[in-house]
Amino acid sequence: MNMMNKETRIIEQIKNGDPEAYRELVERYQTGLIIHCENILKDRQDGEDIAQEAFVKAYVNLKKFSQDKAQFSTWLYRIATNLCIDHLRKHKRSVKIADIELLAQVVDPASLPEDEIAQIRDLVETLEPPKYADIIKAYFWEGKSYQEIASTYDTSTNTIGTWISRAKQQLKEKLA
Amino acid sequence: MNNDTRFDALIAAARPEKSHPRAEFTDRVMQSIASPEILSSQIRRMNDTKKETFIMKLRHLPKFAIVAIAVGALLLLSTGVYATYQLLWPKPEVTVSAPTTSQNGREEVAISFAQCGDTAMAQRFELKRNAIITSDQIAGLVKAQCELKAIGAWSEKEFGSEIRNRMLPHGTEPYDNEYARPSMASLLTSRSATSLTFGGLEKYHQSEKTLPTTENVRYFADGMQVKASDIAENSPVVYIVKYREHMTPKPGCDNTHCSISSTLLGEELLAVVKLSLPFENYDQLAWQSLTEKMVCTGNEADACLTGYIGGIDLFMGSDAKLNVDGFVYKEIQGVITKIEGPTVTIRSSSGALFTLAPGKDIVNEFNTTRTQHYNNRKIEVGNSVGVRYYEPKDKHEKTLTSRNIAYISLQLEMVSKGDPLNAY
Repeated sequence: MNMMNKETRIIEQIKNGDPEAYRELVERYQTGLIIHCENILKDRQDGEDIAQEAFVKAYVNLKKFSQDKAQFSTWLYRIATNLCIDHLRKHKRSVKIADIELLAQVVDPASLPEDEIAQIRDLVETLEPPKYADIIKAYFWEGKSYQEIASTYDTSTNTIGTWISRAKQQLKEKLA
Repeated sequence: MNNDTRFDALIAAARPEKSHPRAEFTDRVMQSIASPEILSSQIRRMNDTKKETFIMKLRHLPKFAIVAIAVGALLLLSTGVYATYQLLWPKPEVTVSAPTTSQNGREEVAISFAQCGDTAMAQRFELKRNAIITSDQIAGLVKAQCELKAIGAWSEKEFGSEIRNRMLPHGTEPYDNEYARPSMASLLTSRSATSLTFGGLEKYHQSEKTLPTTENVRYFADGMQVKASDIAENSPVVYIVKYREHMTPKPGCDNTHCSISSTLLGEELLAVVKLSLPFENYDQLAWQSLTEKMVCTGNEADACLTGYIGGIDLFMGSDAKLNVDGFVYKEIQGVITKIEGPTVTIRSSSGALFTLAPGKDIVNEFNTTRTQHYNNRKIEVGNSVGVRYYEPKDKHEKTLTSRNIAYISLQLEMVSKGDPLNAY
């Protein structure tokens, strides 16, 4: 079953009264959504709080969601982006809303090319040294924060940032 | 657009299905969805002393450099001697206009200010219907908020982040965690040779707190370090505490699935900062009595309410797309003047009429199927709604459809979270 069909089935399950099915959608999108919110809010914990709120809001409004018109991820990212904007406004942070909205569209999983995603999935395993692969997985796939990863490696968050940056550069070169 | 951001999204999307993200996050979401209806984030977060206090506001502030202010340089230069004093945080300056009546029929003031950290503050404020303050108190409140922001930014730089590391850094092993956090604005209610007691927060259901003092505790006032004796009893203060806690993974943890419980091991008073204004200016409920007004994005002639206002989601569209056909983000708010089936007309603050046609009868839907979750409140003419929508930058359509509209919310007016649901 491909991803889209599976997602359609999950949403139908939830609409038919099986809330537990939502767990799979939360697992699927949480790391990307947290990173998206973190990028907007420049704060990891706020990013997590807003991503959590977006998942809850999407669930509550799922009955109104029409899969004919948009993909779930597009809708979820829109909700999260709205919440991020509210949050920035509320905390009086200067915000260029148009940039944020544009960002939301560019990073929406539904807008990303499947072939590139599949390539990256394979290429992560080839990163050198192997700890780069572990760090990429920890941050992007397991949802760990820089701080958490830094503690695991007994190093600073700045070092983790450098390692992630180098790992991404390797991935880009391998993709090119 | 930052390509790196898109690349981040690509990597995140490449997560194999067998790879499990953090179960504790998933669990938190699954626990939260038990509630049948939720209000907007503004309401859910407001006036909650744990989540929405001055303390938490400070957490969101970006770091900024210590601001150096040359005090009285000209005067000193004139005597042939000059010196530069460096304040640890800047002193806010706020000017408030005489009150007028807003379009919403509320008392409104315009504010200009300087030295309010590096954050954007609204230029206009209006008093809510159930405000616990009067317009002549607004200047003090705004000045107090500026001061708290400035002190918070300085505190983070001086004592480190208050963000609590609630993640699991050492596999499944227990570990100790430390973080510093400034308090809410409090009163120094009493002092002894070995301790200080802080209070004044009874209205937030917080009891007095006594903390031992050591010779390492530092004292500050007006942006400078001072002696302990310079801060008298009953002074308004913020105190900064370092917390140490033991984090224990709950049974059944592995490296990818884990919940953690924490036990407080100790608290250490790091600093006491005397605030410059009378205590009542730092009152959170007084601050929540104000509605901030900012220019609406894309509709510069109109004012949009922001800050402590609540909202109920009425419509979250999925047809509207940004950057398609040159569409850009815009927002408008207004009072409902007409409801005709699925079409709602609103009048914005500049007097412009907008017709909302989202393709669904959002008013009837709310009034018939959701109203019971909101004390049977009904949407009617005279209520206010906020709209986020997309359209080409240079176009200014007055009829918005599902092709434009991304979000519609009913605006609420509350001071405390427990207030009845009053439409704005």
